[in-house]
Amino acid sequence: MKTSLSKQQDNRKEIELFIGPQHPASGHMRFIGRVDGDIFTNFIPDPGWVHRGIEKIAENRKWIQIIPLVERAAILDAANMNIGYVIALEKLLDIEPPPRAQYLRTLLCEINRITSHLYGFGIAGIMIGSSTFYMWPFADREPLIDIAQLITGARLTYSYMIPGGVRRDLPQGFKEKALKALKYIERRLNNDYFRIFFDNPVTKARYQEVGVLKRDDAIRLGIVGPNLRASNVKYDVRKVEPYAAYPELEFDIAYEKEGDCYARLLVRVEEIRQSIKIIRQILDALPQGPIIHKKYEKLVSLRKLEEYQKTGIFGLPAIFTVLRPPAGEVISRVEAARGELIFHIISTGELRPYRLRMVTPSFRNIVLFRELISGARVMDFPAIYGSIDYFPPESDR
Amino acid sequence: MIIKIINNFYHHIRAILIGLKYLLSPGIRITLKYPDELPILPENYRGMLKLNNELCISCGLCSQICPAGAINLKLFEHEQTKQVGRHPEVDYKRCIFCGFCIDICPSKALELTRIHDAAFYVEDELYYEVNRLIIGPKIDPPCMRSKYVISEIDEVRGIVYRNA
Amino acid sequence: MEIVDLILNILLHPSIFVPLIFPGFITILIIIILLIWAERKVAAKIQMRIGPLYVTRRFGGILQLLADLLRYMFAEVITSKDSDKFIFIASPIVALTATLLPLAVIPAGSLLGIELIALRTNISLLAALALSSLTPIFIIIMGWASNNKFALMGSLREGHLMISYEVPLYLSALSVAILHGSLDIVDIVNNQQRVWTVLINPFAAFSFFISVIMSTSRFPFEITESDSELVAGPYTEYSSILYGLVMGVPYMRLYVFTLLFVDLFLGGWYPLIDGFSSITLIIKVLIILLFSVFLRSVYPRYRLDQAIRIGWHILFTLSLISITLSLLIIGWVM
Repeated sequence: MKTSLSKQQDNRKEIELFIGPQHPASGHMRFIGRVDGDIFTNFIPDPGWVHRGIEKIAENRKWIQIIPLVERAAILDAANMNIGYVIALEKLLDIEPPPRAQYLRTLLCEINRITSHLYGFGIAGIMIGSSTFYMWPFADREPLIDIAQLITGARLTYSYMIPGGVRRDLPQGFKEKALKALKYIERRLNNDYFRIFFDNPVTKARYQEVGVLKRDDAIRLGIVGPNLRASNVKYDVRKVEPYAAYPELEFDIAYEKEGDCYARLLVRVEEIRQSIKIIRQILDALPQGPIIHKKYEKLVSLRKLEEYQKTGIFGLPAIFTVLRPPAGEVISRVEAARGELIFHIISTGELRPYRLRMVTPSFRNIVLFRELISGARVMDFPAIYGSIDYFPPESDR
Repeated sequence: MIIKIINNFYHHIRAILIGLKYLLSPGIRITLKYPDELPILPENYRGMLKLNNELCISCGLCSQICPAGAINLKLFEHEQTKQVGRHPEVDYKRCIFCGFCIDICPSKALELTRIHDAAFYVEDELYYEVNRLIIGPKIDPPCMRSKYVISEIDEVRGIVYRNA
Repeated sequence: MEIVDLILNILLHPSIFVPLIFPGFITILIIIILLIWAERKVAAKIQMRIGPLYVTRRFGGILQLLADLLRYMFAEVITSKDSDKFIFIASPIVALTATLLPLAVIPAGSLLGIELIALRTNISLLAALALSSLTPIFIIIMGWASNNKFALMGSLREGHLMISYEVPLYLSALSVAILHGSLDIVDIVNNQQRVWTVLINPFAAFSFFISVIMSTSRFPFEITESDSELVAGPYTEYSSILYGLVMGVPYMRLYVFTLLFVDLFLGGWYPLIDGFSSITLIIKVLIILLFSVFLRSVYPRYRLDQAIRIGWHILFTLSLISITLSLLIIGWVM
């Protein structure tokens, strides 16, 4: 990659610009661009600066210990990373969680989707210079993180889903608090955000007709998530291959036709609205019953069972330390906040997986940098970067 | 063309007005003045650990499940009761606060505390031996003015902090 | 006692008092400290934060900038190996001086019975505009001397912008001169005793104000040092007190232009005359300054080509309209 760039050194018209890894807008990565005047003639992302070898580490961890590990790929999208792995593991173990657990999983995933999109908004805002739209979404994540904290006991790294169910039931008075937070975020999203940012003529000038990704290109490049749906492709794993409680819930696929930066942001706005709708449905129609598969419910100690019936906090059964799923190969697909997340796990019936492959949405979207920014203006780089909602640690894993 | 200019102008004014609205409306802030205001975390917050050594049955499950390898077992003799057992020790340099150890403990010997923001002067203090784990984590208020607040979710202002 | 009188006489002489005390150096320093604090506090309020607080906690962190300046003062001046060292160090200092030069000809009312104008000429408007166009040149030189790609690109942007804001800036200022039939700012202010220019020729005021916002890189035209792609534009390589200087330059420029704006469009020191007329002037200046820094928390920034387009399409047209309007009004009155 780098050698091919240095071969072009003889072109005296262009300068080679290294953006990052220590740069206000590069994130944890580097970009190598060639600039001709105000135009990037060539733009290559150079990821890998936050590679932690999650796939390799996973081969040395017990099955249950991988749950906190895969969350670290995208810490602000932890629940969706978690559910992807747990679904794969459940396929191996051939168990199905009870309906209440399915609903609780979906609840946390949707809360996480909202917070993740808000985070993306904040980054997009500061990248084109709107400091207010940096602070607002970040501040408004707080009520939602508080809600997630009420469910799971942690702010970001929930480790909430375990094979066969979830770890905790909802606490007392959760519904009122959640509804309040939803009302707050809905009002902010529909009024204030639009007035200061999405309807702001400067924002529109920066985003509209910039970084256009055509429908065919999006499909050809294998783009996933909101970036794909902004190019007029109605593809959502939650609809195509429903998991958890999604088949029973009513929601629409958010999509836009234009495929430019502005469309990509509007898709996320619409997704937040849909997520709010989903959470409201879940809170209304949460089925009663256990939160963990029968098989595991019997395996905890009597003292733990008492606690579970009293407070709704289910312990882990001791068998999880020596969990040995039967040999086999599974694939799970879930819709994480940034797009389709794939887990491919090979088990040989050992304490640890033989191989864990994790294809994250950012990893599949990284090609957009080359496609969209080559040929764009220098000042379009932060606008496009912000609109893709690319998250380097998620891509590097 | 003219319509577009007028439309743009209208949205410029709207953006400036919303800015003015937030500038002039009193008391909307979401920041927690952290060292001055300490949040009281909700029950069941996954903070640092506390060990009840009388309940501990020395099964070692906590050490086996810990994803970060933060828990070691150590032979421990209680000073008064002379009870002997292999009890856990926690290395907070490694702990990721996932709470698996608490959840798997069959005898409920490990407990949650709501403390997670302890700071240490010496690196070795991060290693909690059985003795200290039994006492549990303690933090001094970070500064003289520190007071405890409860955060509540509010429909209008997002989060409000009420004095505890 | 004679010596005290002598010193007082020297200090209160306009040619000393104006550049040194009011509206010159000391006032600028105080205003910048307050302005940057206000900018951060305003942004914090809008963004539901608190803003600077812990330096002089009781007064809401008002001395935060002073603390920052002290820190800059004692930090090491780092000059990169390949930079053009003399120009690199000299240009911020010269830019600072050049920014203050227009104050010599901009009148600032009167204080304690002294007419506050260092140098009264009958072409003071032209002189002020000409002197004010010196600073961007040094900003361009800064970027060149830094020997850094980001700094160079920032300078190029400054160069591009400079052409597109200066033309409407001068034309709209000249339309005021046409309207009042004088190039002397004192005359222009005196002519506004009954009605302010902004009411007669709002187009000129609008295009002048936007050009000022553009020239001092306030939002939404903070393009020169746009940090999300250029780190800090021409100022990327600067550190310690030199960075303090280059950071202060746009604010000083904003102050100087605002003074000019108030003189040209908002009736200068009227309605107060004599004695303490400077107070009205400074109040007007502060309001305009606050508004310009408030824009930071409302807007993202425009793209370079869009800003240039705004300069040539909208502002240039508006300034031509304002000149026509001035001519029409003059013709009608005559």
